[in-house]
Amino acid sequence: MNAIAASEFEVASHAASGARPLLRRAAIPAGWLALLIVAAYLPFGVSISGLVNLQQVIYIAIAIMSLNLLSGLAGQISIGQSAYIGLAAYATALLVMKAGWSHWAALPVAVLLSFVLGVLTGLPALRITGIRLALTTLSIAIIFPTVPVKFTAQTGGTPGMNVNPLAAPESWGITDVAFGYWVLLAGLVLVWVVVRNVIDSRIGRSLIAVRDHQIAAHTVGINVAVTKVLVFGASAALCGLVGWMFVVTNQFVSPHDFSVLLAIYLLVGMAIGGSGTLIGPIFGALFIVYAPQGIGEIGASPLLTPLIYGAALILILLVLPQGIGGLLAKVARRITGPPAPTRVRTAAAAPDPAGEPSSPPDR
Amino acid sequence: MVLFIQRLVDGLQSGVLYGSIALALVLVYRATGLLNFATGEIAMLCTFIVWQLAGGGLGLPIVVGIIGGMLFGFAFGAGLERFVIRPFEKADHLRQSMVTMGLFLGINALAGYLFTLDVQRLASPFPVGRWNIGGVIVSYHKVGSIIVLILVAIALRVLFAKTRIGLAMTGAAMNPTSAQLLGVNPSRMLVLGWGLSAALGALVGAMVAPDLFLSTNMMQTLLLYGMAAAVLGGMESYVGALVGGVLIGVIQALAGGYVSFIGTQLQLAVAFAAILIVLLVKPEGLFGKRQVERV
Repeated sequence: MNAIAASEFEVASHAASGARPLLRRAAIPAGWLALLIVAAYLPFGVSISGLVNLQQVIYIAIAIMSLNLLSGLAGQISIGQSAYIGLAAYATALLVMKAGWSHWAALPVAVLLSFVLGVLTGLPALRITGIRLALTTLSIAIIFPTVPVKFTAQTGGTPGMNVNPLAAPESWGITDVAFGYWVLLAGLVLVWVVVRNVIDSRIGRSLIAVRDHQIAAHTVGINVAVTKVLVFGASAALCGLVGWMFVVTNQFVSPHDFSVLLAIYLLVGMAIGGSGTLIGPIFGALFIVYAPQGIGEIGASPLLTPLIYGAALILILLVLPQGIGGLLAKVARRITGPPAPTRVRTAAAAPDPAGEPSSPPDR
Repeated sequence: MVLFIQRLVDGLQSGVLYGSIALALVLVYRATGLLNFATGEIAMLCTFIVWQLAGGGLGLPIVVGIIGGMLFGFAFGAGLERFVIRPFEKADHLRQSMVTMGLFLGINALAGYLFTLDVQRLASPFPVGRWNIGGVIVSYHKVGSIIVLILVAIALRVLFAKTRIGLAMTGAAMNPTSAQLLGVNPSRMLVLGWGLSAALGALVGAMVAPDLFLSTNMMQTLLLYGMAAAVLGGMESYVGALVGGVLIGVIQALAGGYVSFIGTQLQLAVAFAAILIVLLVKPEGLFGKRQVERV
């Protein structure tokens, strides 16, 4: 696996390096700001169904980020994300509909529940690695959809249950959908900033050290066990946020929504976006949400949607192993010139002896 | 007591099916370290071929259909290795496993598109009927499928322990470089391994379909149980895979039968809880070798 920390963040760090012409330094932050303004303005220019699609893009992107955190930083594949998402979604739905809580009150509880489940399922990671650990996360994903069916009386069972929409404050004078979109967008920006900073922190670097060489990490004083379990918890907590967003967007939950297929689609999205970058998950999510519609429009049978997903996945893995995000990072580096070596980035980029170059070899 | 034995027998039959899928997984895993997520879907596609040959389309005898399906499976599996997996020879196992997830999605959609999304019936190769032994009811199909799959497992064991080609496959899996020095072509052995795995999958599919009906989703739960069985058995061991499968089948049938809270809905959860416990206590599985890392 390649390091999230290594490549993308060098690009993002130019503003701080101070060694580059002002125009180049400002180009990327200005680009982000422009993009954000456009994204925030969208509720006034897009239909309601279009907005719902965009909301889906947002929460799927965060879900892929959570996966990215786990496999990019901890070097661990998880097929269990659907269960963390489902747990939080059901917790939100039940708290809002059965206990009469507001969406906002349910949010921290949902995130906390997913975090706890993540920590619990992260415990096996202390003893097993690789494909076996992937299988234990898979088992969580398999078990989860059977639980709501078991408690049909409370959860509505297989057909699922409806949830009230997240109401917009009346004084704002906007629709609930537009409000939900803004809330999700704000959530995405928040997650983005937090993940970016965590990766660059002491925690992020210990994660990378643990991934690259456990024993070496241990000898330099990193608590390997706590680090490993914590990254599972953090990834699951992100999924908790996703589950809450799912309820806000769709106002509905059913066991079918959180089957293993969701976890596999997230892996597809991660591969397409590129597992080494922060921007990648957004491309992955765009693909996951819009590809089925595109397939419908070119007149192919909707039956073939998964076939296109599968073929796209294999092709991207073959020709673009770093995904779209990796490609963009490379292009961005061309534009802004080679990054100045600052102490943190090189330290993070250097220890990757696993064979795969985590920072592109173009310097 | 009668009920207990009945549940034991039922558990045994599903266990042998799980074990056989686990065998198909282990066949590929041993050779490449790759977990083939498409194993179940390949088996499903082959079962549709059996159905085309015997049931719906050509009306051939079912045994001929099964043999045809297995031959197709062999060619299909070998082709997949050669043309889809081979380009990823140098990639890490994670990426290879994701390729097989792509195959999973693709083959599932393709089968629905080419054949049908409706549930179909497939005849059993064994006569219709059942024995009633002191209240325990055992259908001919059940006994027949257990015997056939156990015979196949024994045949595989003999193949890998006694024959030249089987030893070459084992050698290529254990140490490709040394095997190459001895005149074995590891790539060809991989093609062979995938072919065998897919043919075995076709057989399992034909054994499952009379009980579970034939549909594009028929193998998915089975694949999960098969993976669980393979992990339980230690991923590398053929005997372990089969024993793991039987254990899971029996635990599942007994727990689902006797603990009313579990019932039918949580059977899946029980099987996987068993795996979690085994992995926590003995990470290398029941029959696996302990992995030692050089620092």
